Amino acid sequence: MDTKKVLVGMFDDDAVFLKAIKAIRSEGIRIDDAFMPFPVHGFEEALGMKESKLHVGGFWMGLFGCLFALSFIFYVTNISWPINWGGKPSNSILAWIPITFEVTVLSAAVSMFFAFIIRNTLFPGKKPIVIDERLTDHMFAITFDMAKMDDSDVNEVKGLLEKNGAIELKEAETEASKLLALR
Amino acid sequence: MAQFESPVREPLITGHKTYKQITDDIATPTEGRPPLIWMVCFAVSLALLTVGVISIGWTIYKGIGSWGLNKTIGWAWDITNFVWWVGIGHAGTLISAILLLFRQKWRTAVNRAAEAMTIFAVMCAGLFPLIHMGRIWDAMFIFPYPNTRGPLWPNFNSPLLWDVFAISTYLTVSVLFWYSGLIPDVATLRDRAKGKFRKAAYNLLSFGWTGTAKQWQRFEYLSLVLAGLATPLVLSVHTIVSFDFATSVIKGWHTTIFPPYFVAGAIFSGFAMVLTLMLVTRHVFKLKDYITLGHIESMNKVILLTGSIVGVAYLTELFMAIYSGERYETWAFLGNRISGPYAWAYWIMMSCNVISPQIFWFKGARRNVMITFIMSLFINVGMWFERFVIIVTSLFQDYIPSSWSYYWPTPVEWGIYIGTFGLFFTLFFLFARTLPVIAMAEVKSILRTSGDQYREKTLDKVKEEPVYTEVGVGELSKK
Repeated sequence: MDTKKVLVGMFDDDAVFLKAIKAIRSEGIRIDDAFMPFPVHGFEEALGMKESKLHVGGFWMGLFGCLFALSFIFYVTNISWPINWGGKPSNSILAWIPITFEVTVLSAAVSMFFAFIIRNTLFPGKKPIVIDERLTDHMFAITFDMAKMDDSDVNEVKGLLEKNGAIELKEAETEASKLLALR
Repeated sequence: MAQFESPVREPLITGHKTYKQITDDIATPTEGRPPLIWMVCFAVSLALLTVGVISIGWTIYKGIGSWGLNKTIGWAWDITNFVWWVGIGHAGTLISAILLLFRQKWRTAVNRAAEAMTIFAVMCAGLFPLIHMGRIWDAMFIFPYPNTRGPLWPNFNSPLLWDVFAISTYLTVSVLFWYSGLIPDVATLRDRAKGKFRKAAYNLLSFGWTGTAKQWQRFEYLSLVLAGLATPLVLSVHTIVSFDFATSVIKGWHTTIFPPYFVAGAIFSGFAMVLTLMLVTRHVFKLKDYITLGHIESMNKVILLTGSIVGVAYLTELFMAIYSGERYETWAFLGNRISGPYAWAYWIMMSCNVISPQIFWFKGARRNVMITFIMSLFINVGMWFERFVIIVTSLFQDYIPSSWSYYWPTPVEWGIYIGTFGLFFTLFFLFARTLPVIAMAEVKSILRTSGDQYREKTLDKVKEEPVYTEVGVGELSKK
């Protein structure tokens, strides 16, 4: 796992945390990432994040599941082994709707779940780099990439963090992954 | 998400909680030694599970002949239990998916446990069709895979195959929905964990979640889309279960009212089971600040609504049987249900499902824990009898009087049913001990709008605004 050094500003109040993000971004400073124990209302707008494309993938996989089920049932009932059930037509698409629906939902849901864990670099047993154990409990953090700042920048950011209500400042290592990058 | 809520609404979190306290309150039951009452309940569940394992083993060894079925009554106990357990599962998805789309914040306190209940209930349900196959080792024949038997494919026009797809999709999607919601909470447990083994176990389960902005954004998209997918799914599942009956040409089964009637009944029984479990959990784990009387009242309102839909469906069936003038239909309903050898089952169903829930028209009853608990048990019994009545009373006196029969379960069938309770509660107790029974992250996200201290603050502000006092909000707030 690639790592990077970051400057961390810790907050204990989500309202202060959100205001700080807005204030720091309005100064033209790039926030590297934010850590929260729960999705704070409005964090996407505050951080200026673009929409995730997870649902688009879900839609296409759902469509794939739908077409796959329909064509598979058609193949089975009309090409592979047509059976005469009481003289009813083999090509009875209405009776296939329930299974087609279920396969559509299954395909969309499963693919979205896997897209979610892969895009988020999550997998069973992954050893994460935990910046602070309180970040999954009751604290919030804003991080800044140290590699992109010189000493005067660091001091400016530290000042801004303190001015905007950060209760703790520290330097830490964190996972450097393109997939998790803020955008 | 809309964040404004009227300050006169009842708070959903009481006791002036902070984020830290929420974590402590919900995570503590998973830490330390289990309470004595938990150990006793767990031991009892394991004993029941053993009964089930023995009974299922006997069924597989001996065959379906060990059940009380006969030439006339080919479906009875097993399918009753199957439909009953699937129905119970529906409340979990309703709470977590449909109420998420409806922005009902009270769901956050009960959704985790209700989803777990869904998964365990569907597992119990799935057992019954499997063992009813008789030759369980050939169970994979129900799936359409290329084979050397022809290839011999299953019948895609059969509701029984639709059911296979519906139940397996439902189980899979429920597990994914539940687990994706659990990931952040398990990460919280991981970061709190003291012991080495505990830390490693929760690390494995938390998938390395750290709660970055991008992770949370994708989390919210995933839960919203899964809720959108699960909503039609949950309605389709019980619709398809009802097709097992409704598409057949059997008196008492062949009715178009079945899909909505089954879905309403499923939610009705599911909420009853959620209440049974949550009232106990809330008491044992001291979670009264999170599952308040307001939560209980909301659930009782859903019970009253769905119970009334079910009641209307019963009466509609009766009316149509008489009004249609159809001989067999009239015979099924008047001769075999409201009267006849199984009238006792019909009247247990009527009194438990339709008559007794009417008590919830009274606010005092909706907010009374003891009444709610007793009613939840009544409804579970009543809904079991509903399925029994639908299935057995339509079959036992068929078209040829010489084959009329009476069905009664054998000890093996009792054992299997008791065993599913064992499975259900064993899994539920394990869940309650090892994972947070309330979705911590979700409860934290509503604290600022629905916590009592924030409500009081907004209320004070509102009272100072003269425009509001004129319309009497100030008066309301005193209550």
